[in-house]
Amino acid sequence: MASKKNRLPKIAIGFVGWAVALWIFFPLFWMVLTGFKSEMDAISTPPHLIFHPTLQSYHDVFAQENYWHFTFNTVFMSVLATGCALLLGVPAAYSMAFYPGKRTRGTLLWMLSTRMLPLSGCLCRSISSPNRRIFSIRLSVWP
Amino acid sequence: MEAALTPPDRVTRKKGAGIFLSPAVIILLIWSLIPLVLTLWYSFQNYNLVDPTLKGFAGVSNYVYLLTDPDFLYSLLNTVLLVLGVLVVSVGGGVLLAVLYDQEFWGRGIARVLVISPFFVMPTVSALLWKNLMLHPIYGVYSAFMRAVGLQPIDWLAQYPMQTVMMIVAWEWLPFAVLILLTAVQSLDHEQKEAARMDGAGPIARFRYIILPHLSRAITVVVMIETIYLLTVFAEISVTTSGGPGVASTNLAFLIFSRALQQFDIGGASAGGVVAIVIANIIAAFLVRAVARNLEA
Repeated sequence: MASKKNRLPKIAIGFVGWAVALWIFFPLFWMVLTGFKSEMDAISTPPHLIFHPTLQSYHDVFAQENYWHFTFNTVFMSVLATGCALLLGVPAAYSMAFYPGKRTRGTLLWMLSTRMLPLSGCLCRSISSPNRRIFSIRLSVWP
Repeated sequence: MEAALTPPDRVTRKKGAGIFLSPAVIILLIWSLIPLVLTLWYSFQNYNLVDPTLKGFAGVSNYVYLLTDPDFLYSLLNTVLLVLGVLVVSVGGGVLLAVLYDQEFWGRGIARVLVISPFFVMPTVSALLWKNLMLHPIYGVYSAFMRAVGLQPIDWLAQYPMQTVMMIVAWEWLPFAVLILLTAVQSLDHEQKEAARMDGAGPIARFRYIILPHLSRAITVVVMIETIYLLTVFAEISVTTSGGPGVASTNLAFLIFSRALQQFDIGGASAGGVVAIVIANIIAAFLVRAVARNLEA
């Protein structure tokens, strides 16, 4: 009795779950699809779901730009910034979490607020990037 | 025995804590104080990159100019709207989706990955993706859908710039909320839900009195982290609308950017930066107090 009563809501939940998931994911799916289109197909009206796939765009990207150079820059920056932030943040988070003093709350407030200011206002934008990791580490160690 | 050991032990530990903490504090001080002092200094100067003859102490004229500028109030309002709008959508939708993806159904693991996937896309890429592939009035997919059902396609970014930017940013941040809230829902004791169900609580009562209170901690964390990032949203606006049409989608971060790097008015931009820092600190004070109370309770 119970199984028959439960089946219908379960199917409905599955349907809604998949519908929402596909709707949220759809732009990314379309981006991947467009990557394999020719320039004409990409801006056709109405947009094609069925087309002749080509690797031309991928060829163009690697031929025109030094793609690996930019990739290396991105990876290099994020690894270095995360490494520095971990180096500074883990000890700080450890001592704040296990030996909180009178000023811990205030220090934390100030650390957080440095993340909130519009970085373009400082004209020294790149400098503050490690802060965000310090803050997230702090959160994760919160007892 | 523990009590007898405590006093000397405690002192050495306190010292150790200071050694651990000080590098982070000192570097963060240097890293944040130097830009802050420079910004303060420039904000009282006449300093324009394209007019070297204009120099010297400006007094508060940069501030007067900024605060009497209608664009400033407009961008302040946009900043608040963006933060609140995206928070409402991502937290509200996040709670509902977290409960949805906690249910058992076929292919749940894959569906979860699909929902969380937008979070791993760079802001610039997702803004371009929405602008060109989804919402473009001529070859956008959404426009094609609208035409298919007989509606006139809308040039979203021209007619509803702020709402569209909010939608794009919400699309980026909803997965984050789902991720955090889903783990929180999963940590809820199953027997507690079962007991409530046996006592005759319906799905809505269970959601309201068991799941929501359990999620409150995770929700405050999501609100805090998202506020920090949403106050400084820049890439999405820069890529899609460049703050326009006019200043319709300009927020504080973009206003300061356009003052400094499009109008080359370093003094005015610095004044904007100082005002933004003051606003950020007020919000931070409120937020951290509320969050700390919630987390320690």
